[in-house]
Amino acid sequence: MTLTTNTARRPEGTPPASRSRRRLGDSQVLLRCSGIAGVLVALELLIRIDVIPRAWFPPVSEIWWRFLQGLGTSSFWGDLGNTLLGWSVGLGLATVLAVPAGMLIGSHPIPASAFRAIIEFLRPIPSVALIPLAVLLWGIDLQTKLFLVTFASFWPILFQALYGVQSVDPEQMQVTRVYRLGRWAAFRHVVMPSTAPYIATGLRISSSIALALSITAEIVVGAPGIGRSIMLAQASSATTDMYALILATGLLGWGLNSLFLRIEKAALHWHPSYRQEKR
Amino acid sequence: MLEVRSFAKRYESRGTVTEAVRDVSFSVEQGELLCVVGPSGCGKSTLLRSVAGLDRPTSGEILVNGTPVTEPPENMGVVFQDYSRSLLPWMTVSRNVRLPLDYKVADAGERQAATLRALEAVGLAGFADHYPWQLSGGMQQRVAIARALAVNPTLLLMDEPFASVDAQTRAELEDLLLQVWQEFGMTIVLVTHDIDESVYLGDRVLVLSRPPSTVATVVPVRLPRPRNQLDTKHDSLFADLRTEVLSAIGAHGQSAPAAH
Repeated sequence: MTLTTNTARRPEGTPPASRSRRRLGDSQVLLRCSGIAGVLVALELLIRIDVIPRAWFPPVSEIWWRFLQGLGTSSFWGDLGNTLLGWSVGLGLATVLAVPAGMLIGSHPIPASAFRAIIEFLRPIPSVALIPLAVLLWGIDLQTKLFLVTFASFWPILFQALYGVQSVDPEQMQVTRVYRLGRWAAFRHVVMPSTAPYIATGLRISSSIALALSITAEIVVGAPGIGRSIMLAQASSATTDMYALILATGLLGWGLNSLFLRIEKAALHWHPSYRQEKR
Repeated sequence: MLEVRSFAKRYESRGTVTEAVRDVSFSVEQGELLCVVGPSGCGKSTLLRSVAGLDRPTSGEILVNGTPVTEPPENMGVVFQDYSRSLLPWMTVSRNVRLPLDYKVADAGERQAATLRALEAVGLAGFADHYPWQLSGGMQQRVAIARALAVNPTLLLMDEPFASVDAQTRAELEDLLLQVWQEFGMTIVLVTHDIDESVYLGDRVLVLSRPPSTVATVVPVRLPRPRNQLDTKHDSLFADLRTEVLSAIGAHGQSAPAAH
């Protein structure tokens, strides 16, 4: 249960370098798939010939089968829904709070220095350290989960928004002044689009954090969701179930991350790291 | 049209005062094309920024159509040197050109027409839906010029507009500028460090001295118009004027007192 909630120490600045994320060639896709297949087959074999004790790690094929069976049960979808509810509402709240706060603080040197001390004190607090406090305030309700998720995913978005605003090109701002566009237009047409790539990166980082915290809250506090079911499976020695659920969280995290990358790519097609060459 | 009276600019930092511009006065007629040259650091860009209302002189006065400049004047277009930073990469070419109009012209059809006319004037009508970064440097600067033209400016300010493109493109853009100047008939103040360019384009060339700058001289350019790269630059008068401007920069560069 090691959680790194402070991944975003420094702004990532720009979306992930896309040069390497260009469309993969067929041979590369094949190579990747064969890599994954190889590891899975090796694991399966090691378990089948008892190099890895079955009691700790059931064969991969069984886990996969159990996972597929789980997809047919309503309890799995209920768990998934609960986990995603914590993830989405928490991440949404964090975004709504952190984007304006970050942009406000970043847009002026005075609030930037005034808030620094508070931020530097609050940010390093690992969210999990706040679990007892949250339980005290809200019990094991959804609010506890939301509080933890929101707190943890707030910081990366805040910092990205803050640095994003500070990276606005003064020359572009000058253009808005020269053509007398006014403050609102400058915000809408220059500040917002320049900050967007930073916020998008912050969102993607926070999305992973939000998922981690959502599941943590379920495991530690016992709020309903995939995390709690993992705990229950473990407690009743249903090892295969436990692994199937862990697999589900892994796929969920991967899926959400790809979703965010996709959104970033579509919304920021103009950004240097996403540009398509001239037709 | 434009009047600059005893313009002076001093910078103060940590107790030391740097005098960049001491005393510059000149005026520009309606429809005139004035080029400003001078040694580097002479404050020609500062001067232009002040005319644009982006900067304030330490002392002196700038009047556009009789009104003191305290903020960017209306009906002004500005073309900056660095097109890659002055155009907005998230907007298409036509959106970039139309942006100032969105806050100036109420009628949508009129906005569209002005945008198209400006793009046609710079020869980019076919690239309206491209993004600036899909175009070459010279084409991007044309977009910036189109954006300035679209507001139908009475005053066009250009800060080393062709300094970031290759020689061939530079010559093309110079001719393009002369052409749109004929078509739109606005007053132009163009800052450059290229003496040939200043003589080729200008009605007059204002030469600033080394800092703390004053007006070294004003050279009237009596070359016939329309001008073109071949004939105009082979005119013996062109060579004379070029020498005159060059020596004015040189002479005043040497004798200027050290900045303090």
